[in-house]
Amino acid sequence: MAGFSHLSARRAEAGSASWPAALALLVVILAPLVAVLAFATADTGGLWAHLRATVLTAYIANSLLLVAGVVAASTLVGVGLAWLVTMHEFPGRRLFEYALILPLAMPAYILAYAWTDLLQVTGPVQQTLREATGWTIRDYWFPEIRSLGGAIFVLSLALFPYLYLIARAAFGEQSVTATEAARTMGLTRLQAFRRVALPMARPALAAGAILVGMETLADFGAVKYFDLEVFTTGIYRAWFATGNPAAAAQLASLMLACVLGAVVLEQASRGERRYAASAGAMRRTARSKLNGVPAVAAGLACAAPVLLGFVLPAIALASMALDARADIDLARIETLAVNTACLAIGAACLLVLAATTMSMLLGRHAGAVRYLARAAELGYATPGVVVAIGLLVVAGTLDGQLRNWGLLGGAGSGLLLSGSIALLLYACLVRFFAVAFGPLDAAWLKMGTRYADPARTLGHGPASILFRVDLPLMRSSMAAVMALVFVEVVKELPATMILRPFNFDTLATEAFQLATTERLDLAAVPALAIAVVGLVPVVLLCLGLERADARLPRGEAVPR
Amino acid sequence: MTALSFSGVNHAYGRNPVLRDFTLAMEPGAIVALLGASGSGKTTALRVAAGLEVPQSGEVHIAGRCVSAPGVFVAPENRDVGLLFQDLALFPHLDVEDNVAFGLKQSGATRRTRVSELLALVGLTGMGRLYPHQLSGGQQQRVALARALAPGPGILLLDEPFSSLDVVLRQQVRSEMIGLLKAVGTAVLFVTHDPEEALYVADRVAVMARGAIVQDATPDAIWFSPANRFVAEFFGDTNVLPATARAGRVETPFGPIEARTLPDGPADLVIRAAGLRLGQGDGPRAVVRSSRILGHTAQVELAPLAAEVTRLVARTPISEKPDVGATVTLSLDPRMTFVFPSAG
Repeated sequence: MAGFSHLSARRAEAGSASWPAALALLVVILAPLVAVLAFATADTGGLWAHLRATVLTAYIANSLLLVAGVVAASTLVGVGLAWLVTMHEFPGRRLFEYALILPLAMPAYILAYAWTDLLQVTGPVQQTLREATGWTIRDYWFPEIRSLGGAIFVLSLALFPYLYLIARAAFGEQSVTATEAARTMGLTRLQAFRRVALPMARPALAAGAILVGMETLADFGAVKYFDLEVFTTGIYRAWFATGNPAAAAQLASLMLACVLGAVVLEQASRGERRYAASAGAMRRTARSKLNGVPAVAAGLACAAPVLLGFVLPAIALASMALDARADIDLARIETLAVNTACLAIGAACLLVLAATTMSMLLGRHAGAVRYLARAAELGYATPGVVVAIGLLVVAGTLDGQLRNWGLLGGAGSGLLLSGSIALLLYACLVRFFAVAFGPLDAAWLKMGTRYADPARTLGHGPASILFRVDLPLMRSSMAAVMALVFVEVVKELPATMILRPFNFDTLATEAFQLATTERLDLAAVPALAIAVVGLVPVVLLCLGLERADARLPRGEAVPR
Repeated sequence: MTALSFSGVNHAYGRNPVLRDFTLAMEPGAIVALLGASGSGKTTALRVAAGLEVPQSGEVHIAGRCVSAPGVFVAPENRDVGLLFQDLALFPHLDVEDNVAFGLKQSGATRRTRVSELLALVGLTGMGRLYPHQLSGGQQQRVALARALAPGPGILLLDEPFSSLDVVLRQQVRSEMIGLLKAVGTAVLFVTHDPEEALYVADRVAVMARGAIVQDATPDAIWFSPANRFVAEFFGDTNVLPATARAGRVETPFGPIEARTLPDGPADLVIRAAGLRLGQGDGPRAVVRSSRILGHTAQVELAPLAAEVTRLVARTPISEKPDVGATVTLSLDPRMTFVFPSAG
């Protein structure tokens, strides 16, 4: 067989591929998702029928409305601003080009806390309104933030930067030459954008919109805080409030089916494009210069999402924290920070180890089998709630087995995995494997046998090459991945919430619990801490974009 | 004893055969060029010798030891072979000294002495603490050579070693490196697609096409007695004229040519551009269509006045460069005129 002769031709390589081991790792990573699907047909004691008759329609309708609203709003904002920033020159443009990424630092649930504080009856907005008009609370109607509309608002603010980044890259990178060609053929700037740049960017934008939709569907913290009945909150309730794992798993499997469909759609729409391109080089085009009112309007349009999605919430959190400083328990904050850091560092190490191992097991060449490993990236698309439910099923099954074999005789609770840090780390492995595997595997493949070959002819065996060549060369990629995973784990809420051991709280879970128990002011400190950590990858991304831009000759702005 | 020999090696990537019954042997201390177009399999031959590819069949011997045969495979790290990669592949995380020392088994003072010896050999003394990206292209080349020579390999394989350098640097580095390799006395097999480079550098040139050796001879023999039309044409401009062989002779517009071993039938008369002399007097005549300076010679395009062919190409010394429109008489240099059975 051709496949076999290919394998034997590669036998000479240092660290040749080992499919069975790679497959085993893949199974470990996918087990919780499979468990969710496997549990879906279990008996729910009539609860499923009850759910279907009562709340399921509401879950579906609310989730659909939420996704549609967030996708529409973030596409409009993200793509529109990318068009402004890449094609026009106006005062503050360079600042906004980077500042528009800032809202990525704030998870949606933290925006939800901040905006609730800003817009509540006793909050600064309504107070100012009353002072300015002399109305009392009963005299006016004010929109309720804890609603579907409010959730669309905060999720759009949190997620539009994805579309902005993708659109900015697409307009700048791919279509400059084609746009220039179109202009030599007599199209105006706007016509060229509509007829060339936008259609060329459409596949990337579609993929971005799907990504935003999936993130919206997966959100737990913001919708739970706003008390909305959507899929994630429904699953949470089925498991914890009604204590019916089968019903939770069935909701989760329905959701997983949506995720799978979206992943397939996304793969189909983006083809070979990768999001990594968003941080890549852009070819500068001469931008059209805006003056007077249009310039001010463009500046305001860019400033609004930065203010709403980052600056105002940050100020709100900071002032809440200041006001509540007398009540803040510093020892408690320290415990939370240590817990969070330990979990995040542990997860970062575990993921770098797992992803590097997977790359090595798959060999040094790109090929069909590598696509199989992409299945392991599914966990990233799966909502944390679903992953958590899957893990509870897996852990319960394993603990049951161990008990049956009499291996857990002495252990106090009779549970080894359930409610342990190990399970939480496992959740991080499933959820964030894609974050680590994507960049590390790319770095590994890029290296290929380029340095391993000379090392071998210089007398080094596979093990020596691994430690003296491969790992040292992957060091910077590993550091970057550790930082990314660290931030993701710090921001993660639902899986940590569900799986954390008894009395183990992180910044995210503590903020969530304080916020839901109406101690929003105390939630501000951990929330601020999360936002500060969240700034790290944003700053890295900005630096990356700037470095990519600095390599290009500066285009001069031309009058319209 | 041969330094390196391939016998009947076959190798394929998937269904795509790259080496077909590849056979070549080299003496210790010889410098052999493996010359071929891209895709002819020459780099694969090097990788098979180094043990980076496992051939499907055939045998490879290094210094009399079988390193690859059915059921036998010696790993690359145990082959005593140095390979200089086309892209050099210096380790970017190691400085010059550590790159050079990478293949050394010794430690301590012996190791340091050997590294400074090698750096002196390639003229990089004092640069040991620099990193590859701080070096010029020529310097990187020399580090890569020092690294490959460090373990004292019995044979050194070079993969297009000069292709990454610009033209001016290439000639300089090439002469330096050849002098150095001759001094070291290691057998060298180097791959190139540049015929001039092969003729200039090597003691022996092996011309490769579609995975097999077409001709393996000294540079003079390759130039003056190519084995077939392919080899003749590989080394630059030629004129090919149809002819007919009868009783060991071929009739040509330039008079009959002896071709004793040629069977009767259609034949190709192949004349190197340098083998077509322009002069005055008797003989077939042609008009000069164009006459251009090309390097150290002139390339002349001719339209013969009475012949089946419409265009001939000649190379003349620049001092004898004719004017466009002049009528010249053509004659042949028999050492650069060949007759082969017609290919088609």
